Amino acid sequence: MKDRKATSRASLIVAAIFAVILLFFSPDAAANPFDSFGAGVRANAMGGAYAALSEDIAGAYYNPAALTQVHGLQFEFGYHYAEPHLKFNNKPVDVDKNAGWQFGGLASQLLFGKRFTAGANIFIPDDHVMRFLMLPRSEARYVMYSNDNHVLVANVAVGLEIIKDRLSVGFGLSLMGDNAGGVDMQVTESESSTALLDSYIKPIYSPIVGLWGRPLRFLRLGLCYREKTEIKLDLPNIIHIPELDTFEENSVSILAESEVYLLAESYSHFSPRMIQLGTAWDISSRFLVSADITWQQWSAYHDQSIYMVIELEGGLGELFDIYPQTPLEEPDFKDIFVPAFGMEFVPIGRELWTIALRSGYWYRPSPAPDQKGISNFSDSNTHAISAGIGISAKDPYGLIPKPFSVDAYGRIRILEEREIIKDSLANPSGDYMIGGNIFGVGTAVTMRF
Amino acid sequence: MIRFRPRCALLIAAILFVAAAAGPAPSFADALFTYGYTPRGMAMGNAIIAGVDDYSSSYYNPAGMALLQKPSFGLGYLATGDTLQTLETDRKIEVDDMQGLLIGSSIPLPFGAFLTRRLAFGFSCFFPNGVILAIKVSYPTDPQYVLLQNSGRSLSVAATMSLRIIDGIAVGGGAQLFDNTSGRIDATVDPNGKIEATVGQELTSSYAPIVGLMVRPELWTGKDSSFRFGAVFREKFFTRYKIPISSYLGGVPLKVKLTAVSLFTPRQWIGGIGYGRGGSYHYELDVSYNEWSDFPDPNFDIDVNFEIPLLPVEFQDSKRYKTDFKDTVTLRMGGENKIFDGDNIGFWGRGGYTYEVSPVPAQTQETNYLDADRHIGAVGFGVELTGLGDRESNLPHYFDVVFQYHYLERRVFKKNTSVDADNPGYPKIGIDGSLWAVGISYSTLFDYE
Repeated sequence: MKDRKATSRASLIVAAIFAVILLFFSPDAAANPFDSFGAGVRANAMGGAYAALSEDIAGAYYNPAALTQVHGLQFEFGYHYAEPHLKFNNKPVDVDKNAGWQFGGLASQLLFGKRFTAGANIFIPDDHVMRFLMLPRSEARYVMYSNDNHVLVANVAVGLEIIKDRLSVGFGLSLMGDNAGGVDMQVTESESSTALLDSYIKPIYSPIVGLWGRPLRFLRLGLCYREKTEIKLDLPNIIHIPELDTFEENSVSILAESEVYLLAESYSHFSPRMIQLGTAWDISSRFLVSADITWQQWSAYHDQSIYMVIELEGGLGELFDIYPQTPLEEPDFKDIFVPAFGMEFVPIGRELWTIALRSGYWYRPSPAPDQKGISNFSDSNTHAISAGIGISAKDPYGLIPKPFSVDAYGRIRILEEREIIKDSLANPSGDYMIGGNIFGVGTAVTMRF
Repeated sequence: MIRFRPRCALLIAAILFVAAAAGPAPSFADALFTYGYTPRGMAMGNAIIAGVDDYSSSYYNPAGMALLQKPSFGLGYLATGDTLQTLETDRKIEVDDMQGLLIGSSIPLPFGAFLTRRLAFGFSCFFPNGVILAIKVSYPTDPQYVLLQNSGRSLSVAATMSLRIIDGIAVGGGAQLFDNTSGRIDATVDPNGKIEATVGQELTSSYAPIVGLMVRPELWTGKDSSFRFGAVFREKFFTRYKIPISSYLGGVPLKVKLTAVSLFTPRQWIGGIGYGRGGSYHYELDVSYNEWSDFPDPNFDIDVNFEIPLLPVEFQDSKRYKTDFKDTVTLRMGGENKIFDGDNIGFWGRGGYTYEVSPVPAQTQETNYLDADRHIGAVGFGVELTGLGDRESNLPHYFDVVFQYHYLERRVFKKNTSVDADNPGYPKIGIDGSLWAVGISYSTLFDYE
């Protein structure tokens, strides 16, 4: 009994240490394709209702605490693809696809007699590790899908058992980078131009904290807090131009020494603070249902349009008049609740192989207010329906020591039609209609050792 | 029973090699080239490619991972400093002190049948504090420690696989990952002085292959001690920066294209021979051929397009400078010895020496790239703990520390008479001083459940 108390206390101490470490990390960080498109193939098939499940690398995002359900070593390697078919005024608009590799691993060991699981889940987009695209405020965009999903995300997480098979805590970090710095340039008429650069990408971390429990043999509960993420971009560029003197023999200065200062500022890759509460009910050994609800704090969303400062000093300043750009206004997004449901049914469960069928649904009310003014942050209420299959098999030849699995999912995301009516007839955008679908598929192979 | 034929192993080895060598364009540079990766390796003068048998195999020689009996995991911390000074000039150059976290793992995969103890997977990461990628480009004539000033400015990640061909012979391959930066800045000031702007920036990934071979005859002869051999190829890498700035000032175009190459690390061919006895000692001599002759012009390539109406001014593009770096041969030697072997504790002593020839030619022209031959000495100490008192631990624990000192030979360059008197290195400029590094790490071996 004394030993049990001691190990529980030790687990709590380790948990507290992780919590303190997390406090040292910045609460601001970057956005997350996992928010938009989900993490993991099984989780996607089950509509993201996964806070109480999280038995694979997706747990590094959905609930690190639930990772303690994993035993041994596990690797997962998969590919995800989502193609938007979105419209403006019933005409297709070009919104980039989102596709990339998702992979990771989990390792579990006993520590002080309690299970300790650590792992990582990484998404690498096909086209770029990270993309920033800062548009003018008036330019219409599907605000959830235009830029923020084009970024590499690495989630690392640990789960620690407090009470064996009953209660766990978990901590994670979502790693991203912000970007700053620019060029200081001398362009000259008489000599070759030169420039210096001090540009840097700094890591930023967003904490994830989870709690997982199994109060009853058939009932699992999960609670996960994910911190808000956001990048503040600050890209200054300076061009120096020396005094120009084309009539040297007369020593007449025709343009005084000048400086062009270009500063681009913007917010980017926003992901709201979230609290996800989930439950999973094992109705039988072959039938599982899950239900989650997630609070998303979209009211903290900043306008991600570009704010450009251009200053001309010296001779050039006398040639051109420049008026400062109107400061950006807050977009007044609102907080939302997102319900999600999932189910898994195992119709075939043989000794050597099993097949699981999955489906899920979630509904996300749009956090974007009516776009009556100059801005055009397009979004509408969204329904997502998903289905998937998982095949798990044992290797009869003993090559692979534990069952391996191949999983796949398909999902359709339906954006309800929404009419945008402007306050003024003189608004250059005019009134318009938005809506459309996003199709997504994904597959992954999981190896266990 | 299926038997694994050496021919099959060679085929897989060839596939691994081709996959590694087929990686796209080379990328990045790192602190690991300058200082090494782990305290154990650094303490042995980084002469460890024939004998590496822990979590650092993924970096030093990926082939070694398949010869490990158990998975290995380690993490540590490195810090560096310097006393570098420029001679014969008032210009002071700052070299960023670097601190960072290292993490690595080597994981033999426990497949069965003909893949038993055959394949391994590993990774090595180094995270400089507060930096994912930082690029600093100076003016061409500015004095700069061209090979040392960027050491701590990039995150380093490598993922590798390894295959045991027969007992004692293994090959490995993988890639180091890093980013290139590109983008655009479009800003327009219309004739009324109103600003409209779009800014885009993206990071794209590139890979540099690593290939290794390790031969440890004691694993097939069964002898306690024997010679060990290793060979490693590392592709060169660097990062590109490309940003075109396009602005219109009242209809007048001001366009500048900026491209630069930074963080170059040369292609390396490394061979090593060691002699050791498992669990007692290991001594090694490594030779590395470094293709520094590929070193690119590290300054900005600038293309200026700026025409001021009515003024017959033509701005100059940048000038390109030849670097003329030469290939070098680096000699590394080092060893470790178990100096105390108790019941559940052991102490290791380590030492090493490296002679690093400078690839930088005499700076008699306009550029002032400062570098000198380096003598690098290192000492280290390790503790191996398998229990405390009467209590045995289920995992072995290894703690290692290192102190590494780089002595730079004094070097002074005298400028040619063709160099302008206002060049910062005129009439003479030189370098003197030292670098140092300290590191500490913890590592362990673990079992599969």
